[in-house]
Amino acid sequence: MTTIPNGKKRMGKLARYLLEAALTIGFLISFVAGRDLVAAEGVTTAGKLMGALVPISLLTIWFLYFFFQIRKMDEFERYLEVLSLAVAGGVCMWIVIVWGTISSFMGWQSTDIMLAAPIVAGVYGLIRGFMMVRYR
Amino acid sequence: MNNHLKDLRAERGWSQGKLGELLDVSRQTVNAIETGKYDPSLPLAFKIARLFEMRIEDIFIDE
Repeated sequence: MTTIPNGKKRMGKLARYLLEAALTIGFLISFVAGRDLVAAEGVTTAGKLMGALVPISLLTIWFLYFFFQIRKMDEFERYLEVLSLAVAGGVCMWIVIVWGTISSFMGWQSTDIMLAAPIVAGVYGLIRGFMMVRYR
Repeated sequence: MNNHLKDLRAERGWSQGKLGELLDVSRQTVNAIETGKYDPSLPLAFKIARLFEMRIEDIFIDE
């Protein structure tokens, strides 16, 4: 039977949080900076696509990393992650539909879909935090 | 689902962390099973039963 000491597991969790935080910050910086850069006059469509590739690549690495982390977790940790994601997904869907309905009825301009990223991250973080306290 | 995991662990003088290491799960997982907040999968229940050299139904109480 393979056993991993709890101290090592804690370090692994810390490393995971740090890497995810770095990827999140990297994504946000590359998104904001990239968008400003390609907004300048004379940037070709290919240049704009290249600019978009940086945050997209970071986001994809983040998703793949998260996926493989979930695969490595024990069954209860995986249950908590999947439950948090499911609840966060439902809450975000509700927020987006309510916001869309209000915007539509009020005749407001449509909102940048990129806003979904911080909303999802925030809602997921809140729910995951609640789960950690509930099942500590 | 209730169980005798806490008593069995205490009899052996193991902490939740130690039991987690022996079962290859986190301390949080052991705590959730002991408090009845989470029911383990069948493979994990068998692993627990093998570790304590008992039958599953002698550890977990089906109510």
